[in-house]
Amino acid sequence: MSWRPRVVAFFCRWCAGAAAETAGVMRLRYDPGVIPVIVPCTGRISPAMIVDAFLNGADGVLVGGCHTPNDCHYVSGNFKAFKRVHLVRKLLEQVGIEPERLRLEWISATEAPKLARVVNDFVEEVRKLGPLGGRRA
Amino acid sequence: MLRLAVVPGAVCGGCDVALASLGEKLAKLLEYYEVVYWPTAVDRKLSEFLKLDSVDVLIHMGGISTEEDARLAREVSAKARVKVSFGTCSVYGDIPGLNSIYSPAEIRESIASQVDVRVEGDALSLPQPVNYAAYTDLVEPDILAPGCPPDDKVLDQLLELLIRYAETGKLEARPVLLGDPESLCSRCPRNPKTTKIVMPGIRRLYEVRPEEGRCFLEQGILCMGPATRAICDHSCIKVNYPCTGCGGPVEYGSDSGLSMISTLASVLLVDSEKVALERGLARELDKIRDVVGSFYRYTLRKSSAYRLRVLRRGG
Repeated sequence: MSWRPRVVAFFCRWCAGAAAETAGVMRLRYDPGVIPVIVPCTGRISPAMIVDAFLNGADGVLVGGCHTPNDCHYVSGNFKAFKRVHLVRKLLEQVGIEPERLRLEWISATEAPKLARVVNDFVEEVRKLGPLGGRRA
Repeated sequence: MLRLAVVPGAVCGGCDVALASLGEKLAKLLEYYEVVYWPTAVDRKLSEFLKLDSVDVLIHMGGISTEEDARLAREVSAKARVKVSFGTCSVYGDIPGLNSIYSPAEIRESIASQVDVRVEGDALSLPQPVNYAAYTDLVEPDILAPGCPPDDKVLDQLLELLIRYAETGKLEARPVLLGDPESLCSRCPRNPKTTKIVMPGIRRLYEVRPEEGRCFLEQGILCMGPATRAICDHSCIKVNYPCTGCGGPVEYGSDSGLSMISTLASVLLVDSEKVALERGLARELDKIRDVVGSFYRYTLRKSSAYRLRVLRRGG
C-alpha cells in the first residue's frame, strides 16, 4: 500500500474550527489524512501537544487560528500560538526535522474554501517530504 | 553498619566535591554507613569492591559514556538495595547529553578523527564510546538527586533520607525526586511586584548589565527558572546570574525545554504583540540562536526533543 501522510490539525474553536464546520456543511472536499482537533484557542496549544503528535505518528502538524492582529476571540491567543510555533519550528530544525512539517495558518470562520485549500496544500507538501519516521514505508 | 558505595560514570568531579563539601554532616552519615567504595575519597581497589555481594546504598554519579561505565553501573546496581542517581548527568544526562543530537556513529567518527592513540607502532585501545545515556536510562533508581552539582537543599534532603533509611530500613514512595515540587520562580527573591511579567525583547548577557533584584525575564534575559525544579535556594540567581536549568524539569518525566518555550511565548512582548506583529515577534525570537542548547542544556538526553531525533534517525 502506498504511503499516505498523516496530519494532525489543531483548529481553534472560533475561527479555523468554525471554518472546518462550514467546510463540512458546504460539502467541500479535503484530504482524509487529516485529523482535526478542535481546541478552545490556538494560544492553548502547548509545544508538548505538537511534539507529542509527531512522536505518535503524525508526519505533519497544522495549526489553524484567527487572523492577526484583531480576530482572536481571546484577544491575543493567536500571537501566543505564533511564538510557540516559531520556536518549535526552530527546535525541529535542530533535531533534523524539516520545519515545514509544522505550519501555522490564519483562517477565519468564513473562510471554509481557504481551509480546504490550506489542508490540501499542506498534505501535499508533507507528502513530498515523505514519512517523518526513518523506517515507516 | 550499612554499606555505602559511591560509583562514578563519566564525571567531571563536581559531584564528588559537592558530596565531600557536606563536611561535618557527612560525618553524621558515617555513624550509620561504612564507605566501601568512593574512588575520590576512600582508598579501595575496584576489584576488591566488586567482590562484595551487596551494598545497602549506591550513589551513582555521572553519565554513561563508555562500555565500561555501562557495565560497572549495571553490575553494581544489581547488588544495591537503594540506588541514588546523584547529579544531573546521572539523572538527565547533563551537558554531555547534548551530543545525542548526533548519531553514535558520527560521534565515533569524530573521536577517531581527532584522537590518534598509536604510539610508535603500538596501538592503545580506547574504551569504546556507547550512545551516551543517563544512569536513569539503564536502571530505575530509588532516589533522584538532580543538580549540577547538587546544591545544599538536595544534599540535606538526601542525607535525611539516607539516615532515616538506616534507622528504619524504609524509603518513601519510589522514586523520590529531591528538591521541592515547584518551579524556581515560586519562591524567587526577584519575584516581580506585578502579576504580569513582560519580557521586553531578548537580550544576551553581554548586552546588558543585569539589575540586581529584578526578574531576569523582565530585563529580557533568558532565565530557565520557570521551567526548572526548585532544587536549590537560587544559588545562581542570588549572585545575579540567570538560571540555566541544571535542576531539570519540575516533575520527573516532563520536559523543561518545551515548558520554557511555552513560558517565553506567554511573556515575550505581551504588551506590544499587536504592534510588533508576526514579523517583529519572529525577529526577537530569532535572537535565540540555539534553542536546544538554551532550553535543553542539561536535559536533552531525557527530553522529547531527543525522542524526535531518534524517531527521525529511525531508531
